[in-house]
Amino acid sequence: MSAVRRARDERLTNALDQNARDLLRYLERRVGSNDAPDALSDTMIAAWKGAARVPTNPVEARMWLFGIARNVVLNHSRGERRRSRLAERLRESVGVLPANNDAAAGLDVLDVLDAIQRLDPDLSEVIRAVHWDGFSLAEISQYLGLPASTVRSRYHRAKRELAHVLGSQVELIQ
Amino acid sequence: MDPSSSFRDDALNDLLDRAAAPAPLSALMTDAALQEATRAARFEAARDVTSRLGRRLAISGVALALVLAGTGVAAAVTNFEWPSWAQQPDATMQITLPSGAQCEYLIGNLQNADPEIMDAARAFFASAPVPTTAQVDARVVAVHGETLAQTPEGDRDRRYSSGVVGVMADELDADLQQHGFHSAQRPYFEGVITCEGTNQ
Repeated sequence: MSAVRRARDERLTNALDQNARDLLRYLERRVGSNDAPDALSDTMIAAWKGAARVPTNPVEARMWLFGIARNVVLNHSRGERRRSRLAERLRESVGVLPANNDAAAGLDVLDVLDAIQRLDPDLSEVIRAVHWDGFSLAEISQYLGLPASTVRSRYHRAKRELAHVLGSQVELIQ
Repeated sequence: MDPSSSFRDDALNDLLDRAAAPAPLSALMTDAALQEATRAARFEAARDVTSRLGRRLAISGVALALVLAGTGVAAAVTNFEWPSWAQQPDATMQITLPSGAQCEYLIGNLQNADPEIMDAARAFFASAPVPTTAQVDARVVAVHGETLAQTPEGDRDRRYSSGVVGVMADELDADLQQHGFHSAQRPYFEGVITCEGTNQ
């Protein structure tokens, strides 16, 4: 194996090792716990297939991985699912998950989830990325491959729409 | 900005933060499982890219840490570059696949932070017997729910190869436990099989 390829593979291995849990969390919050192992498996395999393009900067490599994960989510929502052996092993390494606790969530949380779900997908992605994943708008623009101004605009539009829908709850918690 | 507007924005932010969907899987997944997934994905990707050209059958031991839960073993048909460790493998054995193909099986690239575990694993591989067909068949049944004889012909060689490495992993686990280690401490290892006469 050439030194260049070895260095590249090491870089991707490190990037995946450092970001795998965040990627899984990101995917789990978008496709659910049942399908998240498949989505992570697809993300990792796609990353290895595109290993030649992994950025040298660790931060950029992280955003590159989330860009791949985002595409996997989009494919998932189009119904392009597959069950992989790798995903099965990930599932079984955890065992039985606790029951979904949506029912135990407060009504306000369910309302907020519903409101986010009803947003245009481009807007809801920015909301989830900021408030659930802790990304900055600059980071989101990186992994979505969009100008920062576009992401900023989507975020503010999403917030306006959510404030309108959730107005009474926002008033209540003040 | 209107102070009340800022206040409302803070309240909305708080609502959105608190609405984060639960992610129990990512909380429960071990670091080891995620790291092994990274390495298994590498071999899966290589298999996808090169399976139609594959003449060498490579078994990825990287997935084996996940076999502890009783699942299967990854088998990847790849043409990736011959690994450098194969020049000095920790184990070499001859096996015959169900198709009759004669294969040389190399195991190496052991990795573990604990030198005592590394020594124990190397000692195991240096003297480990070749798994018997009965052992491999039992392993195939455990993973796939059917014997090799019941396996579709096109899958038999691959399942057999996976079964061999699975048996080796189980035996290594047992050996490590006899030496006072936990099976979860099994070192990462890789295997490569070169076969003559296989159409894999």
